[in-house]
Amino acid sequence: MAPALRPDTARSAAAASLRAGLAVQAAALAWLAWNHGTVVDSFLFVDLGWPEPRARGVDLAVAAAALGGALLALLRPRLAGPALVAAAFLAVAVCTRVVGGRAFSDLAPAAHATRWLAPLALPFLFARPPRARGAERVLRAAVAATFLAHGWEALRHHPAFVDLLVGSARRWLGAAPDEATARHVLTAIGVVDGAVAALLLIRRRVSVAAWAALWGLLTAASRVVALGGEFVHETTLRALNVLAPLALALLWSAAADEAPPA
Amino acid sequence: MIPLLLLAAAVLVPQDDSAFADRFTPLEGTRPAHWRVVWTDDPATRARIAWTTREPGEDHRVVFAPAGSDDEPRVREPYRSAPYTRRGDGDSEPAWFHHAQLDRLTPGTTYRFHVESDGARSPELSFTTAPLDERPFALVVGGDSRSGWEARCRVNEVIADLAADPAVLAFVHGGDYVLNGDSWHQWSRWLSHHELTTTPDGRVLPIVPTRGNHDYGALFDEVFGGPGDGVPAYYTTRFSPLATLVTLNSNVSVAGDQLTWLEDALPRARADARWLLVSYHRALYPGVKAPGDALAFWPPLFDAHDVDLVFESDGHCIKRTVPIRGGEAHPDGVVYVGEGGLGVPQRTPRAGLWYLEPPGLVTQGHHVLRVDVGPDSLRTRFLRMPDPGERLTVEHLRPIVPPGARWRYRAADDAPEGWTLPGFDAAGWAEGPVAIGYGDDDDATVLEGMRGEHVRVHARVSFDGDDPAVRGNDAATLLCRYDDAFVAYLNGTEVARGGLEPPEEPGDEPRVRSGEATAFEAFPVDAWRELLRPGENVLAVVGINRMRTDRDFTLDPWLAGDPRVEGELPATEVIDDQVLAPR
Repeated sequence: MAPALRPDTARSAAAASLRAGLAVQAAALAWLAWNHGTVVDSFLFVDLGWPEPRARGVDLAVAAAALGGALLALLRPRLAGPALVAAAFLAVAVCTRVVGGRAFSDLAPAAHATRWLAPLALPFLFARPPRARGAERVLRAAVAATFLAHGWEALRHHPAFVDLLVGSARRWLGAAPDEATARHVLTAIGVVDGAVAALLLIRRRVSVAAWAALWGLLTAASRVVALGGEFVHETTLRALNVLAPLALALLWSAAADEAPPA
Repeated sequence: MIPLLLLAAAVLVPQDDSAFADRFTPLEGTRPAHWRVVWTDDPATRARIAWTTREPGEDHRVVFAPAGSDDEPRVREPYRSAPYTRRGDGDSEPAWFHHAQLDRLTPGTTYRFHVESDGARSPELSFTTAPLDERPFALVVGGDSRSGWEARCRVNEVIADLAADPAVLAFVHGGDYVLNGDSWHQWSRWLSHHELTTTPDGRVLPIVPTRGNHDYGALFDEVFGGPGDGVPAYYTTRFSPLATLVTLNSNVSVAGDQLTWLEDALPRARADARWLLVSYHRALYPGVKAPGDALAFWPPLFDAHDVDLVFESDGHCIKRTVPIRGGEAHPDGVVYVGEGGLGVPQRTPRAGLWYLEPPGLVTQGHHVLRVDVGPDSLRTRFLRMPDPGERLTVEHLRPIVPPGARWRYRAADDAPEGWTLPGFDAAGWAEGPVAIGYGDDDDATVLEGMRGEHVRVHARVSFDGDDPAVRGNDAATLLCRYDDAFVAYLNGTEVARGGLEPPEEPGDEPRVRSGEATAFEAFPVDAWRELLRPGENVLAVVGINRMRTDRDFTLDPWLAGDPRVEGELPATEVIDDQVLAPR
């Protein structure tokens, strides 16, 4: 079967998808840091006992680094931009794990993998000549890790996931399944997420990556659908949950079909 | 790199409760400690008594009777005794919990009780059941003990003072008792600190527990107990015909079964009490953080059933919203108060939040909320506890060597003989106002050449012992803000040190702790009257940095005399006093 896209078109589109994802999620992080403070602030102020102004300053600096890195990635095809974004979001993920206080916070580094690992696919696409396979590997690892983590959380019936299901139904359908039903649905979702993660790692199927992108869109959007417009930042923080698998789908659409993994 | 630095720096700020340690019941053998009275449902006729022993023991009981009664005391054995869950990572020594359920109690009655384990007895204690009539009563409300042990202990002393008022019925805790819910060590300290809420005559305030996001794991239920799996995730507590409290759980699904339960519980509670109160942990109208997920689901029910007052935590500040209905300010709306100040470090609230604009309130500080419940009014008072540093100022203390005074100083790792004594010639030393240091932009005199060259700065200042303003002080206190350590001398005698730990080997130099000069600390000058001399007196301080290459250093001392106001200052100040009328 002939590839759907020319390789250079696919790489450009994938890079554009990732650059857009970096920009949106970095903007969301900056908004969160400015208006409410992130978990980096909590870690430094409460856990380490730093003076509040210093903790807030570092928090804003991390967000600024993400924003600056995203801007750099938009303007210049260099390592620095994506690396800054990756470092900032990895810091957030690590602080989330250390601070705790949220269901499954110990899984944060894996659950946030699309936010901090997927950006590192960009330097491979920026390289001359571009190294699409390297980008693919990074994106597969990132998206699979996120799906695995979220799949596990779904299997364990993460209360926030229950709320996304039940809350969406309540707000938009006027009626909602009970929690027991929602948990059954989450079990099914968890199994599917695990299967998607496995397939992403063992096969190069555009359809699987496309499904991952669609599911990322649905779940990111569910924050607003279920909880209301005040939570739009939770949706935009998950931009790469959509755009990273989309980038992977684009890269694979230009590859030879059904080749075993490198 | 950033994450690695964060992990490397992940040494939690050390907690210090040593000033109160002699008041905690030690955990030894089967000696009962950590007693608490827990209310969830039916506080008029039921109460759960829980306590801790180091050893499992065999024979445990609660012995109780109405105060002043000649009746034979009743005895109740625990329905559950088991070891606290420990993480097994050096998480403190093992201990055992015991839960006993008292029922068929008489409403509105004070019960005297003690707990026994293998013959070892607790002190004589008491608590009062909720009334069935409409007598006024009060609640103490707060959240986020979490971290900040010294502040937590001071707040608990305030709670004990409030508990001395017989009108105060219970303590509603909004959650986040500890930092890590699966740490027995942290819970053990919280329980020891909780003993400080017991009044000197043994009155124990029943606690109505809310679960916070840091209260994960089994220990919350092992501490507060309950039949079956422990404290219900959400429940209703009817204090009296005057008031019912609905306790919710922001850590489980907020839109699922809990919401279904709430849709039924709220109207019943509304119909059953004059005032309807709600408590949960994650704030929906927060002063600092983003709102919780329940924002779309719970407030509409609060509006629909005319909830009067909502207790929130998690934000680590003080707030009282304007009345809110339908997501906007409304004179007939619900008031949300909070937001967690029982010990956790306080945050600066975000500016410009519409629901906290005047007549709303937002500020910060360790605090409790006293809620007085009456037939015709619901009164809320925030009792804020000033930080100790707020009273370490010339407004409260007479200065002997005032803050910001000019000192002679010399950055050098060695010091000449006699530099701490009167008569020493320091004419060749530099002079400048304290604070002396570099980095952090918090120094009046900046030492440009110190970093990389020296770890010590020697500073001295003279004052006149014949000055009546000096001689008239019966006591003196050194106030010092420092980074990283210091040693102070008065006329050659060491009077204070900070930031230093004993050496690892005898004869070695003391170890310097790394610290930030965030606030003044107070060091009483013992033998002040003996050390004070006529004429010239010298206060000498050596500031010590942990490493030559440290990026900052600060030495900011001043010497205070007697307080300007005699007697002990009140532990709290009322910063907000509001009365709600019935709808």
